[in-house]
Amino acid sequence: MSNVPDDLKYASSHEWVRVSGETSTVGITDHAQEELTDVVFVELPEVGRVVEAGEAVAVVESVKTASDIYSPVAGEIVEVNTRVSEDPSLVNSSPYEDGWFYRVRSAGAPDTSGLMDAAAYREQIGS
Amino acid sequence: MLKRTALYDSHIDAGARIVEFGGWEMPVQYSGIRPEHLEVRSGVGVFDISHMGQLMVSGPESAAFLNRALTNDIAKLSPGLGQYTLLCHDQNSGGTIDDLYVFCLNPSEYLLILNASRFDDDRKFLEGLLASYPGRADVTLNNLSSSNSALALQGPGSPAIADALFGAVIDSGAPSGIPRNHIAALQAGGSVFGDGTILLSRTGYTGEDGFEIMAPHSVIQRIWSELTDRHNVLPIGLGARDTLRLEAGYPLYGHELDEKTSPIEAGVKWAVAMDKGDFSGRESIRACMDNPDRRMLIGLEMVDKAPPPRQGYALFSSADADEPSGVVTSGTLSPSLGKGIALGFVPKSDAAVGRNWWVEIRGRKFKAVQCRRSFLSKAG
Repeated sequence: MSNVPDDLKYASSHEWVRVSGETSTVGITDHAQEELTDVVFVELPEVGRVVEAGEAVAVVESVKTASDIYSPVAGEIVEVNTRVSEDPSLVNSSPYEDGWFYRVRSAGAPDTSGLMDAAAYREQIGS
Repeated sequence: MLKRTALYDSHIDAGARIVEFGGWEMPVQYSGIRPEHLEVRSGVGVFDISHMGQLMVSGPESAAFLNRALTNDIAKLSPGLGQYTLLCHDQNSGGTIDDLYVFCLNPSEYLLILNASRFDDDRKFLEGLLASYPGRADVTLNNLSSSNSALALQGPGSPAIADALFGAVIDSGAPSGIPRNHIAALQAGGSVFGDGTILLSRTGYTGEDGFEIMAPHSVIQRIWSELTDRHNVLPIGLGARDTLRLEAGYPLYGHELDEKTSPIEAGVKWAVAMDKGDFSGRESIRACMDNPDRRMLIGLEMVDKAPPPRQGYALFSSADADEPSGVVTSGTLSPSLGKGIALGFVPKSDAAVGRNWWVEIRGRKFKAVQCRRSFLSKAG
C-alpha cells in the first residue's frame, strides 16, 4: 500500500508537487519508486532552465530502465537536490522528503488545474 | 497466449513481479534486483528456468548428427559431460540461430538446453537438417519441455544446499562432488520428490558455482518448495539473472547474438571447432574470421560518474567524433562493482583493452574504458 500524502498534488505520470507561494517542489511518488525499485541514477535539470508543464526535465534510472520525469508545473528551475544525485537511494527511502528532485518558480501561483488531489491519485494507482 | 511455468503460482505467492520473456510469463524480480543479485554473489539463490527449451536427441547416430549441426566438437563429450555450443546459419556470416548447452547422457542420448525465445526456430532448423541427414532413421528429436521443468541453484552456498537437499536420494556421492560442466542422473523414486529422473548439472549463467536441475514438473515443484521453504533459499528473478550474466561477460541471445551475428564476432570462437569437419555455418564462419573489417564484442566500464549504459546507445571513438563507431548491446549499473558496465560491438581493428570509448547518453558523450568482458575477474 503506497503512501499518498493528502497535502500534495499529483500528475498522472507519478510526479508530486508541493506548492508554497510561487515555488513548487517536485519529486516522484512512493508508488513510482516502488515500481522502479532500486534507483541507481538521477539526472537533474540545470538551475535557470525554463520549463513547460509536461516537459521532460529529469531522468530517474533503476538497474533495469531509464524513465523520464515530466515537470507537473511550468516555470524556472531555481534549485535542484544535489543530495539525490549523490545518493539516488534517497528516492526509494524518502520519496516525499529527502528524495525531492527540484524546485520551480512560476510567475504568480502555479497552475495546478491539470493535476490530481490525493484521492484522485489513489484511485489511479488502485491504492 | 503467453505460457506459464509449473512454478507460476509459487512466484505469485513469493511476491514476484511478472513480465513477458520469450513467450512466457516470468518473474523479473521478487525482493529487488540488487538484493537478489548480491545474494547470489555472496550466498545462494534459486531461479525458475523452466522457460528454457529441453530437447532430447537420441539414437545411435545422435552424436554424428549433432556434430554436423552444432559448432563445438561433440566428440569431446564423454558420458556425463556438457559443453557450450552454437547453432549457426550457413548464410549471413554464420549468423547464430541459438546458443545452447549440450550434455552427453550416454553415447546415444544428448540433452540440449535452448533459449525459450528460439526453441521453435531451433527445432525447425534441426528437423530440416535431419531431413537431409543420411543417418536420419537413427536419430530422434524429443521435446522434453512439455513434461519437464528446470531450475538453477546458484551462488557459493549452492554445493552445501544441494548436498542437504539431495543427500538422501543419491547413492553415488554428493552433488558437491559433481565436477564443473558435468551432469548426473538421480532417481527420485521413493523420495520426498516423487517419481522421476532428476538431472543435476554443475553449470550456470551467473559466474558463480552452482547447479541446474531438470526434472518432471511435479518434482521441480517439490524441489522449489524444499529450497525456498525449508532451506530458506532466496528466489531470484530474470532481472538479476541478466545483471549476473552481464558481470560475468556471458552473451545473451537477442543482445550479443542474433541471426546476423557470428560466434566469432560475439567472442565465443572457443566454442567453434573449425578442425572437426563440416558443420552448419562453417564456411561463413571461416569467411567472418578472414574478414579484417569484422566487428568485435568488447567490455566497457564507465570512467566518471555517468548514467548506466543501455542497449542501443551509440559508441564513439573520441569525444568529438560525429559518427558512431559501434553500439552497446547490454548495459547496466553493476550491483557488484557500483559502476556502469556494458558489452558492445566496435570494429575489431579499433579495439584494444585499456583504450577509451565514449557512450552517447541522451545527447551527451560519457567516457568509458575498454576492459575484459569478464568484469569480475581479478586476474587483469
